[in-house]
Amino acid sequence: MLDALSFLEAQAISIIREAYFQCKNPSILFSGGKDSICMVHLVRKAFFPEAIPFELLHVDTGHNFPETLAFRDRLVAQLHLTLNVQSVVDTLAKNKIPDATGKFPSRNALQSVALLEAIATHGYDACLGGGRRDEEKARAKERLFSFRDLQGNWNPLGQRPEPWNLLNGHIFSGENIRIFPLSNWTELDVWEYIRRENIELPSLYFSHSRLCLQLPDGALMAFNPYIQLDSSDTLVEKKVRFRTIGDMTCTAAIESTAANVDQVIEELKTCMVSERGATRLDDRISDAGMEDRKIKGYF
Amino acid sequence: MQEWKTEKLKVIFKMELVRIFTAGNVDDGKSTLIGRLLLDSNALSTDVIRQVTEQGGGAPNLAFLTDGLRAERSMGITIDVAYAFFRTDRRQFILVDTPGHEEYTRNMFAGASVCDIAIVLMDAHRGMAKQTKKHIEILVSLGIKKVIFAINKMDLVGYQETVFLSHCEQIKAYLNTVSAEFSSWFVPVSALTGASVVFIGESMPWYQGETVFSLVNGLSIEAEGSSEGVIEIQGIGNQTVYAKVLSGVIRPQATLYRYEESVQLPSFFRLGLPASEAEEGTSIAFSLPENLCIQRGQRWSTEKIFPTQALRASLCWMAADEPGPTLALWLSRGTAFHPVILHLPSGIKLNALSEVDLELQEPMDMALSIMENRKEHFILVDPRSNQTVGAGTLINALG
Ligand SMILES: Nc1nc2c(ncn2[C@@H]2O[C@H](COP(=O)(O)OP(=O)(O)O)[C@@H](O)[C@H]2O)c(=O)[nH]1
Repeated sequence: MLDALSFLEAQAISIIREAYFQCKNPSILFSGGKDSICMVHLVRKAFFPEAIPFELLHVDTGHNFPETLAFRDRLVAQLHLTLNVQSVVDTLAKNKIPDATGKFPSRNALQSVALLEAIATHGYDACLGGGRRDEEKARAKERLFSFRDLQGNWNPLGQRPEPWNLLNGHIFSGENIRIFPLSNWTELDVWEYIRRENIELPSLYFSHSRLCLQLPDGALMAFNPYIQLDSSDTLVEKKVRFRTIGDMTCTAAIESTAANVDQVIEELKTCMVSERGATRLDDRISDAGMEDRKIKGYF
Repeated sequence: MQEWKTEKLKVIFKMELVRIFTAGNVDDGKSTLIGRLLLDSNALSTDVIRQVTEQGGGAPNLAFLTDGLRAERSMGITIDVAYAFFRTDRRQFILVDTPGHEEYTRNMFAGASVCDIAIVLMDAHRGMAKQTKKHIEILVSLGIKKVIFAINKMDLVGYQETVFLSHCEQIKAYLNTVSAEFSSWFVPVSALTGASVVFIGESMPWYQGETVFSLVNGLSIEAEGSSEGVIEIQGIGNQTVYAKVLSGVIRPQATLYRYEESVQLPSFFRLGLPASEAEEGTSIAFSLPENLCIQRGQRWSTEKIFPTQALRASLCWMAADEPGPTLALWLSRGTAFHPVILHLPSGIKLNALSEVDLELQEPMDMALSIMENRKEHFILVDPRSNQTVGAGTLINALG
């Protein structure tokens, strides 16, 4: 019998192959985070010895960590991939949509407009994403093949049942499927897979010294050009790492001395419980919960 | 970019993945039981426990733990499957919680379909509900192998052994009427006080059996698979065949058969690595053999693959509108979609379970052992709407 990690890997590879053989023009949504990096690795394994048959799509908020972009470009060059970057800023300007404002001007919510534009431009009928059901409530409701209508809307009430993980990728022209091969993985599974497969990650995931803005509740935000500083704000230098990497305006760091994969796994095993308990039970209350908590430094 | 290499793989302790499914009528205590399982098996952090203990005025309020679920229910959006993940020292669990409401049975069917163990809750105070029976029927139809019956709220019946035993008898009698073939266990519990959930407790000295937790952590989930090695072709790349192992074990150089043809399997990659064998559930890749027409949806076996066109199946109907007696649909067992004519019994409704006849336009590949093991699962898709309108298991090839 397959061990848990191999089982999850086999399931993901099966889903990835079905994505390719059922859809006409699927792409990989690549954020530069650990989940999408793992996904690229799985896609490689799924089609090995042939090359990755998908393009990468990065919806760029313009608020990326420089390390993420450097890592992305290196990966693309090494694997000879095609990368399409859809700039959120350009999409906003073109559609006369006001940009995010405030102390933490997160463009997270504005990303979907840019994604829809990229899907239309490149004619993608499916996008593979690294979303996991253990992340948050809304994600937990997603099917492996999650259907989007002509307007890009998700209808949680009318989802296609997937008994025995049998996948139905039939759509009408203009509709789209989001595909989540890592649905059944937890954060710890992802890290154990990174260890087993020796997968390289951006340095942001490991402990380093960084100048941070300390919020009143103790949360740490990486000091960066996109956050507006007030006179009352305090900047502190801390040993931190990131647990998720996203828009710099809304991704909090955690204090950590975990400098390598083994140490991160040890760290997660002791606090994993906390994440699980809280995300599992509280995140179900509101879709915004996870994001709210990330801003508050919850990890 | 670094290559992945076999010798680089660290041998770490092999965890087993176990998927558990919880069923039972609304208010029989499903949320409370899940909360209790998580709490007493140390799957919750101290901060969460503190929070629910404050809520409960001294004792942990387990209903609060699953309040998120409840809020969704009242908002009408938890008509769907919810997942919880937890670990013990030897197993990783995916706990699939599905709605008890009748109208969402198709989601329950889908959620339960992949599970190794089902926990069916029943209120000791009230006895078996209509929905409990429906859930048992679905577990039978899905061919679930292991079912734990948790007779809950024993505290409300004075923890009496006689009450427990009479419920067990009632359930067993019902299992007989629906010809249930799964192994079953019966545990008297109180999700509220925790008795027999994770710890045995002292309230029922007459019960010295397994707890719900010791069962899910201990029951063997080793599938009694068949020895016949069968692969299904997922598709063809430029020069590579991509296939999935459906049963048994496949080795390079094995001779595989389909109808009157045979082929010697070349060396292959299993999950991206060169391998000397590939087991059920894994995907393989090998170079396209010459002089052979390999196509998506074909099956190749170490024993025998034969073509079928007429089939009998147990089916869960999943479309809301009442269908006509014959329908032209697509059938998929995981890869190719086969045009099929479905003959439905009259008056079939959403979530109904029934036996139906299927007539394929073109022959479809069958391996007898998979069907005999009741693992020949399929979905039906309506080409007019592209929706998945049914799912089930093939039980008989009629020709
Ligand atoms: N006395 C008693 N009440 C229970 C027990 N388990 C659950 N309950 C109560 O039964 C009600 C319904 O429980 P809940 O877990 O929400 O049921 P669900 O609808 O199946 O999820 C709640 O008020 C619980 O506190 C038990 O073992 N004993």
